[in-house]
Amino acid sequence: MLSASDLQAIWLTLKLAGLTTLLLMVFAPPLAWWLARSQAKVRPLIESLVALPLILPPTVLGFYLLLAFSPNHFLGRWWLSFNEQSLAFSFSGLVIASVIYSLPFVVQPLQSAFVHLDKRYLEVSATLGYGKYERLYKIIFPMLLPSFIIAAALGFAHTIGEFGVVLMIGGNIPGETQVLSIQLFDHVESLQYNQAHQLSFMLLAFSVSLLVVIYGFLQKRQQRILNA
Amino acid sequence: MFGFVIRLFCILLIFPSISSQAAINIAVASNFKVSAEEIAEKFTEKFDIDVNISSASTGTLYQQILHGAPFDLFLSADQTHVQLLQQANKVGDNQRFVYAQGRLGFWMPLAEKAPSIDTLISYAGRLAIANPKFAPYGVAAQEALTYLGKWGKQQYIQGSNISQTYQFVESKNVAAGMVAYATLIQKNKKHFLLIPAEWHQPIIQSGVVLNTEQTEQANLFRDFLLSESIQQLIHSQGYN
Repeated sequence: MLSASDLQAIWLTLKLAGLTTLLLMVFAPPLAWWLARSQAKVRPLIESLVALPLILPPTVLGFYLLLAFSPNHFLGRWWLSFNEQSLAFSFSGLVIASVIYSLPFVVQPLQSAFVHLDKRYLEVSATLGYGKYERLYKIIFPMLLPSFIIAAALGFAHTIGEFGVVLMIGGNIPGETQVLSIQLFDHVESLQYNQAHQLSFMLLAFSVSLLVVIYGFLQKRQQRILNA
Repeated sequence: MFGFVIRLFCILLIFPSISSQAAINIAVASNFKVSAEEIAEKFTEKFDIDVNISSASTGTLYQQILHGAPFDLFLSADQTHVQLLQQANKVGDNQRFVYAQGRLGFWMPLAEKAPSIDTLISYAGRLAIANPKFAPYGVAAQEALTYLGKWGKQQYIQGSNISQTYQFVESKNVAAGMVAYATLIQKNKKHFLLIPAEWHQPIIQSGVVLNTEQTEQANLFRDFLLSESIQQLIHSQGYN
């Protein structure tokens, strides 16, 4: 039913979204924590930068990334000093772009969860002798698990749906940058409507199932907490 | 004062409707956009009819027209999409016409001198091309490389249209590319090789007047486009 290149695109998309989510879940929580608690003067600026991908058209981001990746500019030159291939039109380039593009979708739910976390829990646990990391693993993480899951899910889903940026910096290379959304665009542009239908429907079914599973899990957890 | 503001407002409301009545909307394949703008300017000067130009890849424009986009004239980069519109009954009895023949250029901006055929044959690095699945210039690039027996032997960075392919090379993210010869001429570039026309099927850029209420004005533009002086201009910009 699906062609080999379709399957390759699906696998590549899952790999990109998975890796992006993993990276984001490593450094978005500390950033979100800082944004939620810091009184520093630069905070509004950092906060704006994080939110920027929500407002900017993907084409702007794609255009600047293309310039930044080019050997004419610092980032591209620096990368080329220890890599043979330029960042543009490579999988690594897509990962960088996706991390930037999906950042607000991961940071914002976490930040709002951290803001609403009652400080007293932390203070009480501190008086009970919990250290910094114990508080993180035994109090913050279990209490805010739903927010972490939502943040990861949004980051993952948003990366899967990414199109504009990839169109600009991807170069449509099978197995390297030809992700699902680009493959779909290709099918439509080359008038292969049947393949386009198949892929679109799969993507739709997958997105709905993913969201149902996540929201179902959250609902069960809520019931368990209410019944406890 | 209030009455004056109302009157001014009404005048402003009427103005755009007057000018839009005489405007025609043209869908142009991205490689021809710059030329089309220049021609449209001359057309407006001569006939006092405004021209709105929308450019995208031929495939995208075709989809839009098929689904009812309000264009009066379609300038495609190939013949196929115009034929498809004829089959879909979007053009009535209007005949398609050829307004330009595109040529390919092999462009290596960082080369010390203009590349020769040997340079093209031996170049094994990443090559920017337009998507050969649907972009006319991409199809031609694939044919030319196949003719040289080197298709599939290097990595291709595919632009979704020929302008994007040009931009990939222009930004130096790819060292070389198969781009529209006309763009290289218009942008005064050096370091390119004009691909011999025999290496690929000719890129016949054809157009058609669409079935709208402005067929008359669109026909006028078509005749202007095909007039000798404009055809000479198109020729000087790198088209056959």
